[in-house]
Amino acid sequence: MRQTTVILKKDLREALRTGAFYLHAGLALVIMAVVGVRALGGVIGGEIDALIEQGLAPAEVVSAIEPLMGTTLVMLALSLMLVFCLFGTAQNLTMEKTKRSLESLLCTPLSLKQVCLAKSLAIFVPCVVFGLILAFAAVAGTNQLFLAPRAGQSVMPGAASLTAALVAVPLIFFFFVTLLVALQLIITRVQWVNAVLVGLLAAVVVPLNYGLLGSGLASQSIVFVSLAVAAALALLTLGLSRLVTKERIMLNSKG
Amino acid sequence: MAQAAVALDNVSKTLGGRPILNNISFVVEQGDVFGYLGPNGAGKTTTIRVIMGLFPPTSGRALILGKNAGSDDARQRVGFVLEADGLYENMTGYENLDYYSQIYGLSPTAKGRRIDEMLEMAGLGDRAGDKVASYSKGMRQRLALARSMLHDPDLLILDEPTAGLDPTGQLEVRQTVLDLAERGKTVFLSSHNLDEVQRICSRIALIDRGEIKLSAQMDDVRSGETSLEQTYVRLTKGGDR
Repeated sequence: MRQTTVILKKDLREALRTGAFYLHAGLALVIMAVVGVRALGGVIGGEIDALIEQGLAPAEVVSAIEPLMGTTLVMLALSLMLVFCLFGTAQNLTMEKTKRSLESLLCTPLSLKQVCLAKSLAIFVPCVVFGLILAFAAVAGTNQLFLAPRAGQSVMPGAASLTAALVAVPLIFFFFVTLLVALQLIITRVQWVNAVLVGLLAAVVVPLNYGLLGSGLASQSIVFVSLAVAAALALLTLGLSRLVTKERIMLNSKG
Repeated sequence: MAQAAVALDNVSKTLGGRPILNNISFVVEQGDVFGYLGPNGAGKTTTIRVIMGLFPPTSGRALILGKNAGSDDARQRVGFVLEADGLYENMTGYENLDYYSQIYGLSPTAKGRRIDEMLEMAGLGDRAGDKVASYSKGMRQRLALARSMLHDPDLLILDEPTAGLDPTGQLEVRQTVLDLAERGKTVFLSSHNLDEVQRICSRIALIDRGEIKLSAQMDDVRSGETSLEQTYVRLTKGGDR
């Protein structure tokens, strides 16, 4: 575990020195500002306006809006983590593979599992920290700018949504990252892996966000759905990990 | 009797259905400076990858200091400079060595002293705080050599360590290898440079088309009727594969 931490620290330090890291942090901030605050403020604000027009008391409005706010938090956290990962931190392993510093690392006494875990954590940790901080900041901003003035008080996500955002979403993201790392290691054209996943992000996650927000999925359900997705990704990673060998990594490390 | 530093016993390796190594066997004794010669594509790098545990042999056995080449124990006792130096360009020379010293499990007290020693040996003491991206090819190669010796390994695997270096850089690397040999370290040196091999190696093996064509003491080669160059050309029929 100590050596895994050594690689993790080194990768984080190296990432913090690259301009791309800050560029993508900026991109995530823009997404949060535009999608998180502006669009969600509009969607949820409109919902509050409709409920007020129906004659509901402020306390009833807050209670009715709570699940929607929970879904917002969960999907925003996941989206921000994915954006930050695919456009930013996931590039580090690509570089290490093309510069062949990975080959040297594989010649040390570290096991392949240690290397894979460390590389996954180096992508996972900053993305989860950024994703959660920005998602909670977006919820606070949306409340401050759009909701509190209409409903008279802030609308906070419920306990189930908080559990989903703080536990289930990082779990989904962790298995997504291990899957990404495994693919990056065994496929020669790593850029293609990243590009396909960016495409999937655009094609699946973004419409899913709007779909879930539109349906106002109940908070309890979102926890179960998230855990089911995490379990499916874990099984996929487990299956793929059998294909990750030093030989396969070397043969696919031609840059 | 001491265990062999490297022992390859009828090792074959097939990649993508194509045989790369064909029943190769040789032994590198402890304390040897072993020159591994052969044209491009002959199988030198694949042999090194088998020794480093990156490629498991398709058949046969590869042992490092008596342990299976793929084992963590074996790799703990081996230092290496591969064809690509594998240094982190965004990090300083000191940080590169610090990173590997932690990976090799050097204690915090031993680490600083050892890094300073290695930087001194590599002549990089005054550039230790500069990013590797600003280093010349020779400096990078010396830093890679310093990294390979951080954990005081018993065996050093060097893949073309002087390739791309100017004459001064080549001389420095050769001198470092000779110093290591004097300290009783075993060196496995893969090289194209016949002159270099003749100067510093005590034993050689020549590989071509995945087969060992010659394995001999350097003194025997020197005392023979034909030069190493002539032997090389005769056995490899000249060129790259």
